[in-house]
Amino acid sequence: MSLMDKSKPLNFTFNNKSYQGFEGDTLASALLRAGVKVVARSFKYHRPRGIMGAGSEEPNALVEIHGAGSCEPNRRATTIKLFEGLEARSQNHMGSVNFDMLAVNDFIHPFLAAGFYYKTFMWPKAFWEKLYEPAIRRAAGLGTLSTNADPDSYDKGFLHCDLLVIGAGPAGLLTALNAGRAGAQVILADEDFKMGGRLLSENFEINDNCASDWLSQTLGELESLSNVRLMPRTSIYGVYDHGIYGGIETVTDRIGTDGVRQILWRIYAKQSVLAAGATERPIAFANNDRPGVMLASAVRSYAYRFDVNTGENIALLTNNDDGLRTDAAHIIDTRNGQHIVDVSGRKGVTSITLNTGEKIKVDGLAMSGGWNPNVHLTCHKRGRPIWDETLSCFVPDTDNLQPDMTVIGSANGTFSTHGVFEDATQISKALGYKTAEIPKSEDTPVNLSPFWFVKGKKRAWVDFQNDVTVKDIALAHQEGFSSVEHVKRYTTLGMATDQGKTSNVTGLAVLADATGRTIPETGTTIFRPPYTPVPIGAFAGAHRGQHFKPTRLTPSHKYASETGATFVETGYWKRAQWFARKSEKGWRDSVDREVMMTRNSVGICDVSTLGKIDIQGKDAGKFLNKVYVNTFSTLKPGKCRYGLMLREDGMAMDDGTSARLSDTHYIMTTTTAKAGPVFTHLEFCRQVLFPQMDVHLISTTDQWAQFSVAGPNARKLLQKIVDIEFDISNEAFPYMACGEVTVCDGLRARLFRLSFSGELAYEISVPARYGDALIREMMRQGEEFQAIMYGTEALGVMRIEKGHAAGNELDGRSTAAHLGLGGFVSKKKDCIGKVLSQREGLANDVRMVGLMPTNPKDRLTNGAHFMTLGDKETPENDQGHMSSVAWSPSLQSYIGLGFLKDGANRKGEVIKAVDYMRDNHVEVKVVSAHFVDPDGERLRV
Amino acid sequence: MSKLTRTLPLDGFTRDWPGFAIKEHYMGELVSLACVLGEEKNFVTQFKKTFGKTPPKPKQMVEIKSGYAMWSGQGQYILLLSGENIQADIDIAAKLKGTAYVTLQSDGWASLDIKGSRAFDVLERFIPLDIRRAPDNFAARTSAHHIAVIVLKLSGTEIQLLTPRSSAHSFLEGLVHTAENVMNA
Repeated sequence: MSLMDKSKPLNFTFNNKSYQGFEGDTLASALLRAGVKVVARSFKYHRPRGIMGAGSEEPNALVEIHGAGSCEPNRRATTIKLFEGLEARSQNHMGSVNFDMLAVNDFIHPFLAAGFYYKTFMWPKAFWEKLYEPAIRRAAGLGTLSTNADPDSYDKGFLHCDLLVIGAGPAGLLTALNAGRAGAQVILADEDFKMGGRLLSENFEINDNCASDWLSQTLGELESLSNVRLMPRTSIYGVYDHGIYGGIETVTDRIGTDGVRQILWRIYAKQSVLAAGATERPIAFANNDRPGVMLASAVRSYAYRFDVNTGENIALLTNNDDGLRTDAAHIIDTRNGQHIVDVSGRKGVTSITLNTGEKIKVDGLAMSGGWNPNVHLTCHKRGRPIWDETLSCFVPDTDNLQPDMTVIGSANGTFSTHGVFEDATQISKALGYKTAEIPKSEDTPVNLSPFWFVKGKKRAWVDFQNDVTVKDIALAHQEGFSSVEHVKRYTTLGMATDQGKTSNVTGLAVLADATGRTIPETGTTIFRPPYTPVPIGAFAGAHRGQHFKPTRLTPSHKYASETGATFVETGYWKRAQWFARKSEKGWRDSVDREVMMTRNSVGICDVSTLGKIDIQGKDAGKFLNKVYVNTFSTLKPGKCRYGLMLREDGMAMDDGTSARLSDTHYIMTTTTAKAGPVFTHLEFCRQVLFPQMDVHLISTTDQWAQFSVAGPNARKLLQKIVDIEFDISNEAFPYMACGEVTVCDGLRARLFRLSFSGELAYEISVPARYGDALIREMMRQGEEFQAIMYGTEALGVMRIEKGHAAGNELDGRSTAAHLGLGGFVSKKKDCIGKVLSQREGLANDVRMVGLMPTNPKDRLTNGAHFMTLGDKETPENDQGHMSSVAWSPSLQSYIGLGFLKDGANRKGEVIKAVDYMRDNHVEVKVVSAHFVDPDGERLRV
Repeated sequence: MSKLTRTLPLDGFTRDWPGFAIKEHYMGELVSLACVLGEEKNFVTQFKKTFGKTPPKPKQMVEIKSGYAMWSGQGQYILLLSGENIQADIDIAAKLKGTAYVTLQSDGWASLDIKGSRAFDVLERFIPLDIRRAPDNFAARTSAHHIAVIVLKLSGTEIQLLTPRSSAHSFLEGLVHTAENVMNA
């Protein structure tokens, strides 16, 4: 029953040599057909390795795929679907795969037993980092990661179903068919690119016909059902809470494909049926890792499915009847007292030696030590497998599984085809689906006598991928590791890409023998996600490059782009940082101009990014009293007030102004950075702390386009914008006034008389749909005043000149007192953070102060630490730190804000600002934080 | 001084693929309602009087006079009203007679019409909800590519997505990227 399409040849290379395979091949089957025996080198000893399995359990045949200037290492050749132009290379060797210089390790293996690096390389101590570790790291590991950017794209998706069937062998197929016919929304996922499970690899009959007939008929019907989704090449790699399953779909193995290479699916399933089959296990005997030693089931897979003859003269070593299905010239059945004690043929099996001393010439060896149900996904749901003495394997503890997952078929220890069909029928009935007639099929009972390993002096491999032998496990026990978890970590048993699929149970058996316990007494390991490797790129999905994180644009973004803005990322926002003009040589020229033109005439800045929270309710004022340190319930409608908000631990959280539009309506502004956290905090307060209050919150940050218009000509400019019936003179609309107005002939707007720059200033907001039009109109109307747009740099300079705290000062370590706002904390009311803001140990003598260099040419730097002149520059003598600095075009000097011990009483003192990071040590004078217009006359005119 | 003209958040973006189309459209006004504490019963009465329907239940969108209403939280609703009326919040507040706090939100959102027989093939790679099997007039809030989105299922081939204005460009980039991934497969 070959499933190859030999009319479609596919050309590929392996280690730069050209080969041909066919549609339906894996890389492994194509290499075997081409007679390639050595495909890899082992992890530690660099022994030649061939292909051992035919599926995701493959421990040996790890290769690199190349393409588009990139490379993907550690791919199992057995799971790579052959495609035209595939470029594969072996890995983990120095020289060629057939002549690996690091194979010297195999000859010094007595020195390289488990944990050897813990015990050697201890002396001299200094050699570890400089010599031993680099040398070991260079020699260890498997493939090599490409250092180029991943050229491929990955995607994510979300699927929902009534029933997720994991595994499309006979059990899964029949379950999906029953559920599909009943109208349930079904997803059938299988890691193979062909569905059918073991039916693809055995010469079974179903209903007295070739199993492939039943398979194609069943798949055909499933495909015809619109409520059934077939997902081949989709490995369910993890099971999570609330019925969520992780699936990785491989669209293609080709690197540098035009489309998506892999899709990471999050599947929400009401119920799942695990029909993931079982994995045949090897037997450990001397030199059982020779190329040509394969799992018996794999030999049959290659023969029946891929039409590949893995040898003309094969021997079979088995401890069970299932192995006897393999077509072999020599049968060594351990139940007859026979076993193998050695294998010859470094680069391909040439002979085997039996315990009788007989030596048999062979060109291949199939081994079957029984089957391990694939219970892994049950462990993700905290299931602990239990030992089945009759079957000699771990089976899921179905009695204690969570009810939304059921295990059937060989994953549940049912190994005959008839048995798995019965399982499928039973679960279908239990789930309420009508069932199809059970197909007629083989019902061979399991006949197995446990035989795990052959004791001897030579190395017998248990974990082929990690080069862990029987002796390593015995040694680990000898050195005191009796817990399987400890042995696993000491020897690396069961790690890496195959996650111990072929080795874990054999390893347990060896440990059980060493400790004199039974296997269930020895324990088992709990499997964790992922079941099969998932590329990091798939987890990232589309979230890379421009899609890495969202970008938020201000209402004036287009205008700013047209007028030469340089943008800066502030959180998710892109804000104009400065607006360069052609004559300007550098960014500071632009910033200095923007500051001076604003201070001398008028500048406009888009401040839409500030958080705007609409607070409505009869208790809105009381609510604000709770979240701000100062009182807001007494604020008159039509007025704004500065507010400071504390965290519960008493540290400053955020600040801003809140405006009262009516008795029940406030608008809070937050800093750009804290808009989200403050909203979350307020919602917590509203819903949890004060549910009795009639107050509602809604973010209106995106609703309103808001511009700061600042400078001596701000009012004149706005008088050309605000409709004439609104009097915005100083008398009618004084500092900290607010109100609803109309602009540009009737458009609804809000006006706030606020100043961050220290100048006469307003903030005007219109519905965001008019934001672009408003900025253009204001700039047009402002031409007579030479109005300019200013960016965040000029904004920052002006706020430092004015002595306003911002993010650098509200860094989570400052209190109201530190900010010089201790007097703001109302004594008449309680608020969040008030009690803890008064606790001992907050060093409330620290004050925010202004700093100027004694030499105006000296540059100040953020983060510099303050030292008293004459003190040694030690942490013990630290007096505080510089939080913000700027070049002030108004003062023609660097200026800074900082926190200084006893700062309130040190005005005029000269101290040192010490910055070892930038090697910049400057003498600075402590001054008022208000460098410009300390009395606030400008903003009140 | 000239009257100001409005702009759409995505400049009226439109793009078609076989079986899938994205089109930004002007959606009219979007208004949020929050029921006044203690006025729940009166709110339902006034809502019915004003809009001709009882307030929608979770995940539900109902057709009302001149638009649609959807549930957006406990005691909270979103109204989607056809036509431009920048005073819509003020007008509705008056009609609801003090039983709800009303906020204009139209400018905070961009609206995208999604149409076509392959709409769900694209959206299952973009939005975590089971929109394919959701009934018509299904409404829910979720996120896509880390950006908030309101999903309104109008029919088996028509979906309306509302996403915050400031990040609408990123949302659209993500949606187009996903659509190309699906269409090029």
